[in-house]
Formats: sequence, C-alpha cells, structure tokens
Amino acid sequence: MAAYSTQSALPRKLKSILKVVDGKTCTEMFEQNLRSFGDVKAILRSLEIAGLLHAATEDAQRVRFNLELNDAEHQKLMQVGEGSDWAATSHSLDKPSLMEHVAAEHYSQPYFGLSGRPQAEEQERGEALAAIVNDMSNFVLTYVPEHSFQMLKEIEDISSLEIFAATLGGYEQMVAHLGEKSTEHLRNIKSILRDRL
Amino acid sequence: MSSILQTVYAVTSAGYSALRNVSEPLSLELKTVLTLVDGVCPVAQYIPFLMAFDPLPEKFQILERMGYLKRLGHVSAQAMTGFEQSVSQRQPLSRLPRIDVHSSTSGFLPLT
Repeated sequence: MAAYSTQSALPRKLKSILKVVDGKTCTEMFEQNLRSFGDVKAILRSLEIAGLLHAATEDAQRVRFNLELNDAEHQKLMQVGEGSDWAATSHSLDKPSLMEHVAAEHYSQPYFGLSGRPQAEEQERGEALAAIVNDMSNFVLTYVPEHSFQMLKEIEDISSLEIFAATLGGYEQMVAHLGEKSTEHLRNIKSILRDRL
Repeated sequence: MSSILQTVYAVTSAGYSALRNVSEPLSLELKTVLTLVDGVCPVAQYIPFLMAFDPLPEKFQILERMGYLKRLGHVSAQAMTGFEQSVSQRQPLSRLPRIDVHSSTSGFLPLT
C-alpha cells in the first residue's frame, strides 16, 4: 500500500510508477509508455528489490509485475478502486481515448499534414515535440497519477506538433482543475508550440 | 555538518531543460535519477527504493556538479537516525515512514 499511503517513505514519483502497475502490463509496455522516466526497467527492478513488486508472469521474456500486497491490503485497494473514476478508465485501453473524448466534446480543430520541410526544420520540430511530450508526461505523473497510464500512452502516441495542437484542447480540459499548476504548465507547452508551428 | 544523505535536492531550470532536450549528453542512469528528484525527500529516502542505481549519493553529486540539481536544505541528524534505524531493523519498506521535510520533527533547515 506504499503507493497510496501519505505516510510512506516512498518518494512521490516512485509512487506514481507503482500506481500504474497492474499485473497485466509487461515491462516492455511500461518502457514504451513511461519513456520520460528514463530507465524504467531499472526502476521496476529496484521496486522489486524493495519488496514492493513481484514478477507475475509465466514468460521470462515479457515480465509482468504486480503489487506486493497481503489479502487485507488487496481488498482495501479494490474498495478504493470501485468508487473512483480511474478504476473505470485507467486500464480499459479499448475505450475511446480520454483526451480524444474530451477534445471531441469541446473542440473541433483541423488536422494539418506535414509537407516538404527542410531537414533542419524537421529536426527542430522533432525536438520541440519531444520537449512537449516530456513536459506533459512529467506533469501527468506528478499531478494526475491516477490517470497516468492511459494518458501517458496517448501522450507518447502524439507523433507531430499538428496532432498535439489538435489534442491540446482536450488535454487542457483534463488538467484545468489543477488551477495555477496547470496554467503555468500549459503556458510553457503552448509557448514551445507557438515557436514551432 | 550535514551529510549528503540528509540533503534535500531540487531540479534546477538547467536540469529541466536537460530533461526536455533529447540531445542532452546525459547517461540514462543519471537522467532517471534526475527525473525522480522531487524537492521534498532527502537523498537517504531514495536509497532503499533505488537499489539498482547504487551508489546513489554519487549520482546526486554528479548532477549537482553539472548544475542540474541544487541543494534546498537538509533534514536533522535526529530525523535521519530514526529513518536509518527503521531501515536497519529490516522493517518492510512498504511501511517505512517518510522523513517529512515540512514537519517540525524532521528539523528541515532550508538553505538561505
């Protein structure tokens, strides 16, 4: 229960990682979706050494981790999950994406195609996109960890600044409730976008 | 005199830029440590949870020398002793209490 306890010594960002472990997702998937953390495999290995995770798999090549919980903790966690939004959304990858859904409700922005830009410009745009993706990933993991797995997957799937611009409205709606923190974060990523679009 | 283990670090603006900049020549290990710094926990509090990054204090020092981390302050020796005792008594890490820098009992001394 270290991931959910306010008294636990587990540092905040490690709690965020622990919260996305579901016993179904393999480490390869975590590596892809949590790239902004760096060496996710080593982090998971550390959490396993610390006794907070155990490998829950039959296939050594595609290790899946699960939380190390006793029966009472497991039951308590299930009760928390049943009443909360994330339980309904965070592991259901077949559903329409959260951001797409919000964006469709509030915005209808056109999608622009890429065409014939010089290589140097393309590289700068790629770096700007990487910076935005990194910033968004860090923000989501820090402030909305309960939705992080679903949102990070969508964030990592953003393959161009134009796609990012089209989904920005939905993202804004999703983090708006965080007040000043999100205002500053949104100002930052919008300024990167303005410089490159 | 406080030790590195008592030190609370925060990421500098140069550190944030380094995390955003994909071409930054930071090793994956250092990048990971930099990403995990939250400006609240002293170095000692990361160690039991990041054994794969041993020796961790050295990595904090390298990142500080690079200008990516800055010292915010340190927790008291007394708070550290309590924490270290809990670790050495082999308490389950999931039940390890935090060294709360905002609590008066931690004796957090900010650098001015």
